[in-house]
Amino acid sequence: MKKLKKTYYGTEALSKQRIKTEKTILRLKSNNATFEQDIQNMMAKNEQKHIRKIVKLADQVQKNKIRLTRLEARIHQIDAGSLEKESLYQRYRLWFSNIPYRKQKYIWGIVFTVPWMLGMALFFLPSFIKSIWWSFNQVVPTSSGLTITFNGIANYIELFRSYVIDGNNVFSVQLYLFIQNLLIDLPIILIFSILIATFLNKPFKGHKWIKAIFFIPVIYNFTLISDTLSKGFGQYIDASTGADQMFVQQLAGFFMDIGIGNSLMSIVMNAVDRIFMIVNLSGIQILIFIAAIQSIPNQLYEAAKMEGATKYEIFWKITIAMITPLILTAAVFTVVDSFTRAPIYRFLDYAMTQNRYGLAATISVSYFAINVTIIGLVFLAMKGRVFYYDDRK
Amino acid sequence: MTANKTQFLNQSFQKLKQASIKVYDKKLSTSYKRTMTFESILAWFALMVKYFLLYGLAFIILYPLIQQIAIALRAPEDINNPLVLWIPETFSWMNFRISAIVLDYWNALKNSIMLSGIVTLLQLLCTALAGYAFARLKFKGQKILFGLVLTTIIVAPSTIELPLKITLMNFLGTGQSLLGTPMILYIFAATGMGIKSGIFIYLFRQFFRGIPEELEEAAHVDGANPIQVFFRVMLPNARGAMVLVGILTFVWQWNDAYFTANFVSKINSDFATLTTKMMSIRNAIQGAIQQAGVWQLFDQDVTQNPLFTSMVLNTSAMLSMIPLLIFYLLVQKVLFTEGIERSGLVG
Repeated sequence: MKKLKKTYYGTEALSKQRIKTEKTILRLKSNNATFEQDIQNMMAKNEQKHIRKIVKLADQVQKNKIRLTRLEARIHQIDAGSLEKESLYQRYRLWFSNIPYRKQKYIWGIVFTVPWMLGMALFFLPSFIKSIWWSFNQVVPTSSGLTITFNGIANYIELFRSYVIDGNNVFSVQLYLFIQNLLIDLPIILIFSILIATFLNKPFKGHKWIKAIFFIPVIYNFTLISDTLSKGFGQYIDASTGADQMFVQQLAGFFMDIGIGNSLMSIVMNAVDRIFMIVNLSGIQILIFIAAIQSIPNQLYEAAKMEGATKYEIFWKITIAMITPLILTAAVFTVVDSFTRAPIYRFLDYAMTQNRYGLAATISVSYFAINVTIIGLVFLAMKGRVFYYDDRK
Repeated sequence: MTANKTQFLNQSFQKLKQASIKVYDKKLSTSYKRTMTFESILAWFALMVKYFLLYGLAFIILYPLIQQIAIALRAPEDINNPLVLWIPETFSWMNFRISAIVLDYWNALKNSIMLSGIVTLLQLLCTALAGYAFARLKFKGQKILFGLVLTTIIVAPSTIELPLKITLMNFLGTGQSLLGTPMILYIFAATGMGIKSGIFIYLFRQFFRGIPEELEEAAHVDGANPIQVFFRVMLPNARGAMVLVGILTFVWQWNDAYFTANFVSKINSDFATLTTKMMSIRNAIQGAIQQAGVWQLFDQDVTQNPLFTSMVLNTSAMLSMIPLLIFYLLVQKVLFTEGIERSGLVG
């Protein structure tokens, strides 16, 4: 390490320093004298309520005494002409290290969050509040900026009653279909990813490759690829090989023949049709569940085996029970994620191109409200079934 | 003859009987043995299901990739050849060349790498700091702030898009517009407003809560202040979470069409990443190919075929994804050993 060069004060500066230091010493000494006098007075009264004050003052006196000894050492240095110049940073460090650790933590906590708070105050909060406010207004862009006129919940009424784009795309219908799909997909995605995570957790033949393949959907831009493939050549190849449809249809026919209910079958068929989408949507969830399963302590499994539990029991009573908090996280992530790729975004774009900013704000605020509602439902469904380590009731 | 036959049959019957008795003794004679046998059959069956499921699903995931490769390597002259389905008759790099011109590949690639790299670094720093503060450095009102973090997770970016754009057009009343330069994305990343920053803050918080507090206390006793504790003790220990968040940020930024398009590319058409370029040529591929000046190279029956444009589009999509795929293959080992196994997803 490089050694810092020591720089010393010149004679003129030294005398200035001496005056300054002596002044402080005098001040501190007089302060201490008054404090001690106060303490004596209070002691003489011998009252219980003064004890705190006395302790505080005694503390102050002690601190001042420490400072005094330091200053006296400084005077000695000045006498010897060997007082070092301190940079601003050094002085700051000395000052900061005198603050108690708990207060330091408090200060750094605020400093660490400052960048995020800036973003919050500059970008997120004003825009979010404005968006909510606009949804109750008619907002029209003019040459001199935006004209905003309050019109109550008229936007909401129009949106849910009669907003149609492209001739036949009704907002409420699309919204209903989207939520229906989401409510079907959510449990399927969760169950699917738990299953895959338990499979991937233990090593088997080729598990490294399979693991790597299962996270390709996370990095691969699924919308881009499926868009380009399903329109052109991909369709052409699929049609000529008949790869995807044949097997599924035969299977469905078989189940119909043996008399499994139509309605159940249609749900299953829907899921099978969307298997590609489901596999592609559950990359992160699988990631979450693998991490969750790996964090379960091994002792639990050992104990269960010793008690004679079967594999089935172990899976339900230990694995599933221990990952419940993460099921919640994964569910929330699924809901949020599905909203960012919802087909109803088209309505938003359309309202923007129509220059109806108020209506656009209404659409986005309704999304938010529905989002919160669904997440609330998930919370309610999971409530009481979630297990935490530090849960002591 | 018949006697011989009966004898032979008897013999084989006896053999079979012996073998079955053996099996019975070994596997089924007591109730314990029966359960064990049943369990082993069940385990075998489960294993088969597992292999079938995993390998089958891996195929489903790889299917579009294989399709893309097969399409990309096909020569444009082969489009109308009905015999070519998967493996092209004549291999050619023509599609790649056309796509590279259409995408303005090297320029867009440079933009993509720069944007994703810088955003990843800034976002990592911001979210790690905030996450650590929320986990360990308590101050007043922190719970409310954390509630706001959760709100940012739930609020879709499109909800705040329009007011945000209007704010940015005249930023802080200086009359300066921040839209149209990648700078705005860096600012978003550094202030924790980037893509899914809320989730990353949450993840870091969970992770830091999982590191024992004694570690910090030991560092403090040795004379470290909080910032030293963070950079010298906590961050090196948070490698798993850092790897996970870093990879996810990089990938999501690369694939992002929403932020990049809305705040930069739609306003300033000079700046395009691979993804935004891809999105913009998707609807106007015919014109893009014409502009690129490769139209004249082929016959009428090639250029008039809608499959030709689809082929170019496919190859473009693949080209825009290849760097990311290579990046993933390079880091996937680290992701699995460091990122998942030791990540802070669980508190």
